[in-house]
Amino acid sequence: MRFLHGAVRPLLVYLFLAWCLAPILWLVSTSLKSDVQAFSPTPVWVFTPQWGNYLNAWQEGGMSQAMLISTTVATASSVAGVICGVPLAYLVTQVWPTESKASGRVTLLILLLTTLPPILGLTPMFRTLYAAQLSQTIAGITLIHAFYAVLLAFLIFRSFLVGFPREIREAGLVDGIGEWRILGRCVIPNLVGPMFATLVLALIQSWNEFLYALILTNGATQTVPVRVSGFLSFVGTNWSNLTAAGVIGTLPIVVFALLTRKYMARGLTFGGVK
Amino acid sequence: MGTRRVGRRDVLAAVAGVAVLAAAGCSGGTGASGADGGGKQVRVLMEDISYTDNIKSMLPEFEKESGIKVTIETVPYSDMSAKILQNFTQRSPYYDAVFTDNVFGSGYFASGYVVDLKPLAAKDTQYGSFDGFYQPYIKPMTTSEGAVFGLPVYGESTFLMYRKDLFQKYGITQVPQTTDQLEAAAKKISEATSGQVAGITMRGAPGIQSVYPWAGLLRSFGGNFFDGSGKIAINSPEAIKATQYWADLLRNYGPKGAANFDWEQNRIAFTQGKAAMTIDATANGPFNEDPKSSTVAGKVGYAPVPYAAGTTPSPADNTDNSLNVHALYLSKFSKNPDATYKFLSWATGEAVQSNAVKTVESVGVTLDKVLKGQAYAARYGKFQKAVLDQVSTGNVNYLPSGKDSNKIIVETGQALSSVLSGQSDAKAALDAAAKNLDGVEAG
Amino acid sequence: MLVRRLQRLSLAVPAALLLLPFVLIVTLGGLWIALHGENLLEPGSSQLFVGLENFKHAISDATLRASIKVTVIYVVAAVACETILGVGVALLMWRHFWGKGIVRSLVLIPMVLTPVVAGLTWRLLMDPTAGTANYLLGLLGLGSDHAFLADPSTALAAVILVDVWQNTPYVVIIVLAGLESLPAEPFEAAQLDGATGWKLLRNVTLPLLGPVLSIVVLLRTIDAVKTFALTQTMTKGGPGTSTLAISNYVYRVGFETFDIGYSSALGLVTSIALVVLIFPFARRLMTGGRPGPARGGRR
Repeated sequence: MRFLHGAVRPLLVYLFLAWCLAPILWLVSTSLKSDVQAFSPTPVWVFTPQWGNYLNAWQEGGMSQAMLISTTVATASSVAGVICGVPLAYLVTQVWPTESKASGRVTLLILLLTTLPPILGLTPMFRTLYAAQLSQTIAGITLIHAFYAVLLAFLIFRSFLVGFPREIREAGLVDGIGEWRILGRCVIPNLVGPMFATLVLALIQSWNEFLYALILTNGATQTVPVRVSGFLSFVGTNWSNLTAAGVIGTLPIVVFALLTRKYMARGLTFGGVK
Repeated sequence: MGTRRVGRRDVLAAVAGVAVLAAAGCSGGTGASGADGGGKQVRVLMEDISYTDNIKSMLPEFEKESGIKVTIETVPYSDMSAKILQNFTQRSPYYDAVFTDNVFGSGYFASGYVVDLKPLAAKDTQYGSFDGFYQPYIKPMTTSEGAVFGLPVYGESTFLMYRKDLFQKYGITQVPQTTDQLEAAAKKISEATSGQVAGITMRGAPGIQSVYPWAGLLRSFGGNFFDGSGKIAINSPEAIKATQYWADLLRNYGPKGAANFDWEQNRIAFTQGKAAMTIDATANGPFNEDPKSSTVAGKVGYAPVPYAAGTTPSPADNTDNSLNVHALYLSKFSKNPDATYKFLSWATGEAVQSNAVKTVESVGVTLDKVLKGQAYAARYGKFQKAVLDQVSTGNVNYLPSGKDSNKIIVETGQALSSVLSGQSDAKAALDAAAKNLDGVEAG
Repeated sequence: MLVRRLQRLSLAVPAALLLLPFVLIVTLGGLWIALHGENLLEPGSSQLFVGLENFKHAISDATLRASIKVTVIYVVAAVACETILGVGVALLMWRHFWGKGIVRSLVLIPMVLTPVVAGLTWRLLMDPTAGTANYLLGLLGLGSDHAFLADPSTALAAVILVDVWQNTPYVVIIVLAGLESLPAEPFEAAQLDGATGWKLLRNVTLPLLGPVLSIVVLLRTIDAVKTFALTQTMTKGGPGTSTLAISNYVYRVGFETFDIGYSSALGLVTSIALVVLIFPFARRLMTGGRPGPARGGRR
């Protein structure tokens, strides 16, 4: 690997970075062009930024509303996911030893549940929510996203708890404190960062979910991906507004992802790496 | 002791948290399932298209005039049906009306999801009656029993668009009337420009995109979706011949990428001068003639869809072009049918359509008076006659209607895509589609 | 003692309250629909019991076989490329270089991009007339009118390329973190034995990375099998069946031809197949207390 020393190594890395970012930059530049420029066979390099595209997407395109809804849905569902997932993760790592059969079974079950394809749940969920008068509401889509958030929150938070010293809980028990209080007072305060990372990853998952959101929301409750795809019409897609909407819709999650970068790897592998 | 109490309380708090979230979501929602109650509220799911934009822009007038509050929702066209049917099958009163094309509409009516508008029209003539529509547009909405299940918002037919300048340049004097002439013209231009300009472009994307223009050729070759006894016949010798012809035409003389072309990409290929001919919707006219985005404005001629020699007695009887009408349908489960009908008749009424001609892309307006009016002629004069001619001879059965129409379109579209992309030959692909459609009968 | 036990189990209650109803609704509801011949366009058909008819139909369904093939190629090719490329880049980024922190943050962006937006972006980039990809290839003299998404010989590869673009950063981030948590001793020992370069990589680094890699491959596989938004926005499964992944086919059957009974049967079969396939790997990775590479350490 001698040839990889010196300047070549960072050069290759930057090449990879360019490959990752070029389409993103292209997306941003298209969002600032007019439709004619966007479809020009030879790329237009110099152009006057059409900030109006953003204004259009934001106001007439309904992105302002979609952002508000996605924020509500993503926040509520990921908070619910954490509230439900964290105690379970605590149960299978601190109360039950991770090596125990019960702990392994619960973990495996949750992992297998993540394979459930949304396409299967769509119709039964629509009907159930409809019967409960929750279809097309923010509450309905939040509940669905909360389900997937619980799975994710459990798997991620478990990964951070696996290495957490069980002695702390034992000491708490000796002092006569209950499980919930140990979790709330002794464990969570030590894991604020991971908790935040868990929350953010659940948030991103909900923010990007498309299929359920498509069928289970309506004009007043559309989330960001559904709204963005709404710019694709049968007759005449407005590409500049569509790309502007795409950029707007992506910005918050990029910011969030960057904020929690530190915990990303561990969270994303459910503890496979630290 | 104390710890246990705390434990329980925490559980309760956690559970309550979720409940509160759900409740908060609830109040943030729009109160689905007709929770709005008594007020005159009408909710309509519409295509995201210029006609809808126009209706939206005029909505405040209507709301003031009638006291009816109208909510318009839009979703991507390709996902519309999934959404509509999820609601209809639950007998949901959520959407009072939906706006989609007659292929779907006729299926909804056959399934009993949308109602006959006749009784409502008899009561409410404030914004006009069925007689005001250009007859070819209202006919597809009328069943043989006389029920009228939709109010047309816009319509279109297919026609042949060709580059007059290129025809002249390469010495093609006769506008193709037969499929042989069409192929010869495509070949000539494609070869003369060494492929720089494709002879012809058509939509090739799977599904309705390709079936729509292809269906014209199917009939040109004397084929049909069903045989005389109402059985599926998309693998008939005529259909195989038509498909082979269509695929060869596009493969040999079509632009690169036609296999993935939807309406927009096909239009762009033609208006950017990449192809000498295209068979597509009359709605393309204005895009061809718009000098801002089209490089071929003023150079395009319009003609009927060619027929296969020997199958049609004369060009005058040529009815191989498709007719497609997009209309508003009133849900059977609507709690406010009267108010909804008022909105539908207003939205397809003269004031709205005249404004559409003035302000948005609107070549497909459906009222006789507006279509033949001054404003329309001033704007669309170049192809007004071609549009009216094509629409009046248009064949609304270009696609099968009724409940199974979508299944047929999807299966046929799949077969076309396989043939065009060279994955399988015409006979094998259509045989496979026919097999999957076994048991489907004319609706 | 009982109270204690109940208190412990109460930790599982919030999760169970959310998960159980959902799982029951989806699996039982899905099964019920799969056993009925429901078509959304035929009122009353939801009550039409057809037994295993839908499952039988699946056996002779040629389109299903084609979509299984597409999905298998998609999963194998995408996951393999992502893993190889991702490990390569992670190795390059392992030791310090100028700007490492920033690079590490920025490569995350494709990964968190909404798949719908990613698909649309690439569809435009690969457009045969206006796409920048063709323009660039033209500059290199490689022809400028490739219709990548319309040609059955390239369409699947093009979609896989986008999956690779979007998900390689995931592998990079994870493998890089894995590399950085590796203990130093094995390397020192191997170097004392004179191992360098490729040898060191093959005999020491990669084996140590084994557990991390298996988890990456497992999770990427689960995700890739479920692929939907990318193919749906880029090609809708076409041309022909060349990019029709399972989810696209299930969606088409259920929501374009409205044969919801058959669609549910296909969805169930797919889930079961996936579970059976990954079960052994998942069990090894997630249970039995076998520690991950760095789990011994505590923060």
